[in-house]
Amino acid sequence: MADDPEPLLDAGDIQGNILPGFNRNEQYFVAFSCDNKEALQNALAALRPRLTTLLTALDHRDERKQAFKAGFGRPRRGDLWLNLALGPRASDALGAGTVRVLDQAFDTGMKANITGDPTATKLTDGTPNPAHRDNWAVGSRSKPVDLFLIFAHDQNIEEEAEPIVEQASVLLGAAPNYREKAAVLPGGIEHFGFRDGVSQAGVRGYIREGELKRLLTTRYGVPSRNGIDFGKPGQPLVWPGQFLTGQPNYLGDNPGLTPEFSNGSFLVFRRLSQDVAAFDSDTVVMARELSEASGQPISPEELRARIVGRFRSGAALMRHEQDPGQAEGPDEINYFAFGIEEPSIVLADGTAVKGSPADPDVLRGRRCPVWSHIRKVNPRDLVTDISDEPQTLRFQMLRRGIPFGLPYDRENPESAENQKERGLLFLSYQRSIENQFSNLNRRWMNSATGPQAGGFDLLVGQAVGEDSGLYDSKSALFFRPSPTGDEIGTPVNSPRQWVTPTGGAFLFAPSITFIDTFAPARVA
Amino acid sequence: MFSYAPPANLDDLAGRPTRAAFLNAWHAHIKGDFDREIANAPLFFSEVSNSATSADLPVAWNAFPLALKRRHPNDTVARWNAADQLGTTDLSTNGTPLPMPFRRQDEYCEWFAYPSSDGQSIGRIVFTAEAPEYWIELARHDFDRVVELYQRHVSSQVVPDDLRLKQDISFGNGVLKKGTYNPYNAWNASQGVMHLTHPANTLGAEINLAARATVPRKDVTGKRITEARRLACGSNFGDPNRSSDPNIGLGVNLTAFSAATGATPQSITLANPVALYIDRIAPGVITDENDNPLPGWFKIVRGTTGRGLMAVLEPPAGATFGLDKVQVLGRKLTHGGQVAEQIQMVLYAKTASLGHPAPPLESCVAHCCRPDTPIPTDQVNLAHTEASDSCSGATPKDAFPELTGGAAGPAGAGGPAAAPALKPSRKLTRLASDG
Repeated sequence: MADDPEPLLDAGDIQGNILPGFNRNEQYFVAFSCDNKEALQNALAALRPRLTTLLTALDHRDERKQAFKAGFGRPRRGDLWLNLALGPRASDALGAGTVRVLDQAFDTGMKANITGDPTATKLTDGTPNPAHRDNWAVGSRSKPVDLFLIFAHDQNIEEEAEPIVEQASVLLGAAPNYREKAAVLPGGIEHFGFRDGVSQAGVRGYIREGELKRLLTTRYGVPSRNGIDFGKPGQPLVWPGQFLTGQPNYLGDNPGLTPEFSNGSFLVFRRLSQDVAAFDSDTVVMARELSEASGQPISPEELRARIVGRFRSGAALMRHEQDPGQAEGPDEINYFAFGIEEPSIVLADGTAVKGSPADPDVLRGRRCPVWSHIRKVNPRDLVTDISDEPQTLRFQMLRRGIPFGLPYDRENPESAENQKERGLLFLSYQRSIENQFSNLNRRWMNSATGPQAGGFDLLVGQAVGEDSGLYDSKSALFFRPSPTGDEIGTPVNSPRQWVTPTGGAFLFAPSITFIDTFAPARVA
Repeated sequence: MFSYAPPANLDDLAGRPTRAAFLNAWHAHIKGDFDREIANAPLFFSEVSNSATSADLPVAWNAFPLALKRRHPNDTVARWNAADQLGTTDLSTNGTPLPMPFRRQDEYCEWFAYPSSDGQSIGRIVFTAEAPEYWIELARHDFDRVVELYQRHVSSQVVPDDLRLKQDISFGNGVLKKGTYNPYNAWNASQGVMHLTHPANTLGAEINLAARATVPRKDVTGKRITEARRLACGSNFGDPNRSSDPNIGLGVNLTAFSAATGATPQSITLANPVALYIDRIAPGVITDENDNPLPGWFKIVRGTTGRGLMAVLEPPAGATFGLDKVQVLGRKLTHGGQVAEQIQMVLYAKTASLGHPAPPLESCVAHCCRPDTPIPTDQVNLAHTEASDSCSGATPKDAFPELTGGAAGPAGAGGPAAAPALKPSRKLTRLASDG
C-alpha cells in the first residue's frame, strides 16, 4: 500500500495551519462579528495576500526537523503568519451557502447537544455559569464568530499582528469581540504539566516544490499492520479527504466538489479554561482515597499519569511502567498499541526502535486505564462501541491547540499570577465535525461507556446532570496493574471539573481559491 | 444453588401459578445454550459449574446498524429510512416458501415509531432489546400474560388470536407449532414492537458468539489475529458488519487470553441474567426546538438503566408539545434511527481463573468476501464464507486473504484446523447487511 499513488495537493491553496500546522512559539487569535457582504469581501481581499499556506508552513517544519537532528533548539523566524476561518453567517453573506451543506454541525453551530457542555446558564449560587455558551468569552450567541484570524510568530505577536487587526476592523466596520494571545509553554506542555500534541496522524499526498514532488508525510519504513500504513512508528497514514474538502478518502475516490469549495477544512475552536490548583489538589485526595480503597498505594503523580495515559514527559504508560523522566524521541513516543504488542523494528535508516507490550487485561485496562484520556480519544488498535481500528482512525483530527495564560507557579501557589485564567485554545481541523470532533467528544470523552465501558475521561470529559444542567462528579473504575487478581476494581471519582469550555465556534477554514472566488481582489 | 434468571431479573409472572415452572424452564433453556457451546470452547464456562469471581465486565456498542451506515455513509436520511424497512425471512418447515417479516435492525436493538393520534407525526418511539426466546418461553407457560403485556406495551387492541401462529414455522434449530406464540406477529412487526425479530438477534446467538470468541486464532503465517473484523471472519462468529459482534468478539477474545507475552488465560462467561441490554441514551442529545434538554422523555420501561430491555421516547405526562417539536442533535426528529444512533447497548461478561493452560492458536474456520470496488474494506459490508468456498458473485474478492490463504481452506493453507469445522452460524445476518 505504501507504493499506491497518492493525490497531488495544491500547496499554495491550502492554509498552513491545517497542514502541516503553524507550530510557532506564539499565536494570536482575533474574532469579529460581521455579516455584511461587502465588508467581509473587502476584509478578505485585504487579508488574502498575507495568508500563510501549506508551502510556507512546511518549509518551517523542515527547519525544525533539521534543527532537532542537529541538536539545536526551535528555530525562530521573523515573518508573521496568518490564517482565517469563517462562521456560517459569513459564508452565507459571501454567497457560499454550500458550506453549510458540507457539514451538519457547522450549519447548526456549537450547541450543547453536540459538545455536551452544561445547559444551565447560572450556577447554584445564581452567578453566571462561565461554561454556558451565553456567558462565553468568545462565540456566545450575542457575539457570533463570523471571521476568525489566527496569527503566528515567534515573539512579540501582538505588536506584529495588531496593525493588521486594525486594518481588518476598519474594513469590517467592527472592532474585534475577542483577542487572545497564546504561547507554547516550555517543554511543549499544557498547563497541568503534561507534554501535549504528541500524537498526530500522518497525511498522505504529495506537493510540488519547483520541479520536484515530495511526500507530505515522510515514510520511515515502518511495517504496515492490518492494512494500515505508517509514517513514523505509531503515526498511521490517512487520506487527505479526512481533513480537506474535495480531497479523496481512498485511492480512486472523487468527492466531486468544485474548486472553490475544495481544500478547505472545518475548524473546531474551543477555549478551554484549566483549573490547575483543583487538578493538583483533587488528585492528591483521589489518590489517597484510591490507595485506601484498593489496598495498594498509588501516588498522586501515578494517578495523574493514569488519568492522562502518559507521564509528564509524554512517555506512554503502554511503553513504560515507571516514568522514564525524559522525553522519548519521535520514533518511539507513539509506538504503542493497547490490545497488542508492537514488535521491535529497524527503520529504513537503520534506527532500531524498541517495541511495546500489550495490556494484559485490555477490557479492564490494567496497564493503561480504559478511561485514560489518550485511550478515550484514540483507542488505536481496539474495537470500540462504534466500530474498529480503521474507523477509529477516520475519527482522528488534526489538532493545533496552544496554551493561553501564564504557567501556574507551583512553587508559589498563592501568587497573584496563579489567580489569573489559563487554559488551552483547542483547535482541530477535520472534514466532518459531526463524524470526527463530535464522535470523539460526545460519544467518548463525555461518556462512561464509550469507546469501551469503564469510566469517564476524568481529565476533560464533561458529565452534566440531566436535571441540573450543571457538572456532576465523574467516576471510573481502577484496576490494579498486576495481570491477575483484582477482578472487582475500585471506583475513583473526580469531584470537580478541571477543564471547562469558556468559548468556541464551529468554523470553516477556506482555500485560497474560495477567497479569490467569493472575495475577489479589489481594484485600487 | 445457581440459577439463570430472566433478563434484567424481570418478574412478568409475579403472583401467578405459572411462575415457578417458567423460571425453571428459563434456567434450563439458558443452561442448555451454554452446554452446547462449552464443548468447543475450553475458556468458556457456565456459572452452573463454576462461580465467576469478577465484577460484571461491560462491553458496549451502538444501537444503529453499522451495516446500514456503511451502505449510506453520507446520507443519514437514507440510512434511517433503510432501517425502517421490514425485510422477510423464509421460515418454512416443508419447502414451501414462508416469508415472515423482520426488522433490519441487527444490533440487538430494534425500534418502532408509533404515529401520533392525528397520524401526522411520530407519537412515540419504542426500542427493545428483548430476545424472542424469552417471549416464546413465556407464552408456553402463560399465553394470557403475554397478551396482557402486548396490550399494555403495544396496543389495547391486541387479541390472543393476533399472537398465534397460523402454521408451523422454523425457529433456530427447532419448529414453532401452529397455534403457539408467533414471534413475527403483526403487533411485533408492521404494527408495533414487543421484542427482537431479526433472525440473528437472539440470546442463542449471543451465547454462541461469546463462546466461539474465546478461541484465539492465527492466520496462515501463524500470526495471532487481533483485529476485530478479521477475528469475526476467521472464527465464523456473528456478523462482521455489525458494530456489536466484532466488538464483543474481540473483547472476549483478548480478555480470555491476552495478547501480552506470558499472559495467563482467564475463563469467561456471560453474566447472569444473560441478556442484551439498552444501556442508556447519550445525555443531552434530545432537546426541544430551543435546544433545551428534555429529561424524562426517554425512559426505560422494562428493565433498568444499564439493563434496559424496553425504552420509550414520548412526551411525559403534562408535556405541552409532542415529538413533532423534538430535535436530536439539533435536527428535527423524523425517524427512530436518529435516536437509535444515540443509544448505547451493553452486555456483561464475567471471568474466573479456572487453571486452564494457555490455549493453542487455532487456524481460521471461515473467511470473508467483499465487493470488487476501490472502497477500503473497512467501509464495505462483507459476506461470511466457509473456509472451503471461494469468493464469487457480488463479493468476488477475499477481504482478508491472510486468514485462509484465499480460497483454500485452513487445512491447505495454515495446517489442519484443531477446532471442528463449524458451519457459518448466522447466515441470515446477510439479510440485514446486504439485502
